[in-house]
Amino acid sequence: MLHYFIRRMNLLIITFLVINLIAFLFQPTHDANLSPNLWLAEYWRFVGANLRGDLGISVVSGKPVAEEVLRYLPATLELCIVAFAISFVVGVPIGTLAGVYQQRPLGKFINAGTLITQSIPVFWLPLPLMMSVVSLQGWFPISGRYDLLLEIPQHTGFAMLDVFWLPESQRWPAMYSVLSHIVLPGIVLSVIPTTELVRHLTTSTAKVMEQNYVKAAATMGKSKLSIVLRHVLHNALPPILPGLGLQFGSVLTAAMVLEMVFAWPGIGRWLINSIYFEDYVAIQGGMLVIATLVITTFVVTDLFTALIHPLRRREVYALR
Amino acid sequence: MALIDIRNLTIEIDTPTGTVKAVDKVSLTLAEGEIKALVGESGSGKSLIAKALLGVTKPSWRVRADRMRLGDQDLLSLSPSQRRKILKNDIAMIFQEPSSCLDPSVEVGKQIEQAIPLSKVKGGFWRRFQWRKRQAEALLHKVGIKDHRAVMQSFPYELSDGLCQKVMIAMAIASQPKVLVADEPTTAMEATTANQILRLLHKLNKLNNTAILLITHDVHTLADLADTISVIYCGHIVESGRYDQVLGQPYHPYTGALLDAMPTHNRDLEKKAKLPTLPGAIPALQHLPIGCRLGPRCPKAQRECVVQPQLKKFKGHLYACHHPNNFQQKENG
Repeated sequence: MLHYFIRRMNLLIITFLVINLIAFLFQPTHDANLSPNLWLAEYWRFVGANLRGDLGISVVSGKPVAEEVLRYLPATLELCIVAFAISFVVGVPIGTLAGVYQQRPLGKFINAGTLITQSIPVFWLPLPLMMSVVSLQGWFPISGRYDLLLEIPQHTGFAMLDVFWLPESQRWPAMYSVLSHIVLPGIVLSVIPTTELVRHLTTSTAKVMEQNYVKAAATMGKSKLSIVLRHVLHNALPPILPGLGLQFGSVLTAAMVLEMVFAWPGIGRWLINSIYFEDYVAIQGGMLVIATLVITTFVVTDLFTALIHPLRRREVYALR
Repeated sequence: MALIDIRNLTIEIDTPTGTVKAVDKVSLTLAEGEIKALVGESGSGKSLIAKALLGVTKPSWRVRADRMRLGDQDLLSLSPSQRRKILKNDIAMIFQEPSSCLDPSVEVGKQIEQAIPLSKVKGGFWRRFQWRKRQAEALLHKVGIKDHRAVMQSFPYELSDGLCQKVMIAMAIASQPKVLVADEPTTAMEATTANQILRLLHKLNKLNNTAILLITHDVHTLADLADTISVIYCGHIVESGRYDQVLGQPYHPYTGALLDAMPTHNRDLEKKAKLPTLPGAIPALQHLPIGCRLGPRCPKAQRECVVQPQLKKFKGHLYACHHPNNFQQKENG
């Protein structure tokens, strides 16, 4: 396990350095005629500054970029976490069902549904939702993170946690407001990881269902449900986790688009505004932070998988 | 009374090219404490019989039988949940490739503990965990694993095939079943391990009076294990009888050919001569010959063989052949 941990850490560090290198090369002030030694020294200084959290000063707002990122990123992360939570709650049962009944009408129906849902552009999906559910019935708010009248203090940046800093009387109405605001963007954003999860889990479950130990379990008098819960799920789910960790990148990208649609005050809107204002320092800083976040998520998911799934560990040791 | 009593079991399988009869009117009985061997080539339907007996069939199979009983229970009229209860308590099965039959991501110890039915727990519920663990250890000792701690903590991929098979047997006998179905339990094991497994099965049979249905393609493995032997060819029982009857004086030409193909049974073979085998190969289920299914390959086939021979009985020795081997001289003297 330690061996694996070190190898994954290596991957993390090297990828981080490569991302930094790319950001460094595309700096507008970058001078290509530097001598190699000086160039390397510049690069290390750049990496060091990034590690310390010094991402430069935004030319538009005049504030440190890191501060801005920290202000906007939690809103996006909150959205992504909610989307992943929804996708697990919805996707795991559906994917398992589709895998168990792959050859039956139910499996084919789920398969077709997944394909259709996956091919809908994620920025289009909010529009019919808004039109039908929201403007006609007024069930859920369609813009912002919470009611404009509310004043939620920024402690963690996650509105769901920040409401606990409010006085008792305001806490639960504020929580209600936060939750009702996140429903629509959360559902729309969860489409991407859900379809991905369902697709992977279907294949993985169908593969496990073919295995001898599932057939052997049937001869021990276990019912189909108990076989699926006890043997199939915990062999089918862990192998697809790293792939889902990788999905974090595309979810984050989609979240940025949705932030424009739902007027969500997250890092996507901030980044797109920075692009409008040609604020290169902010763009670069935002890109670095997001890229680092994505690879960290991937590595953490991978390590988590190795921790909970012995077969993954075996692959690691077999490679030695 | 026979413990397992199967009469005229027929299994039809729907395939894209039509329905095929994989098992045709097979009758089997298994007495309490008996070891019965079911011998046949691959594709002859041995495993299908076992699966039909256990009730783990696929939707594309049609299983019919005049009678299929375990003790005094009619297996065919039971609901799926009653069937599962029987599987839990009375019948157990072990497989070939045992390491693939254990859940790869659960420790072996836990799997054995899960196989021990809670109904067998003595004492209060607070003792369950300890009791189950100790019971699992005892089971491992019973199947000849001394180092129970290491085995219980390992995952199946860390154990050898022989050890895995022993674990499978431990799980199978956890509920003290009346019948153990062993589906080619020693395939792909080296001779010493295979011997250990077979000795273990023998011991279980003698100590617990567990009846064993041993399915195999290798006449060697059952050499001094089986009480009775049934030889199956293309879904037909061709010969059935006591061990010494079938191996000592095979009536059916197919049994004779099986024995002849074993190097130890024909020591008078010339140097570098080919082992005697039947011409041709086992026919595909879609293209079965009419009449005796061995017909086209049989060295003694004659005109009558286009009529399917019925099972005939001679001194408790069943055979299905119009022109049995070793028979003429017997009748005459």
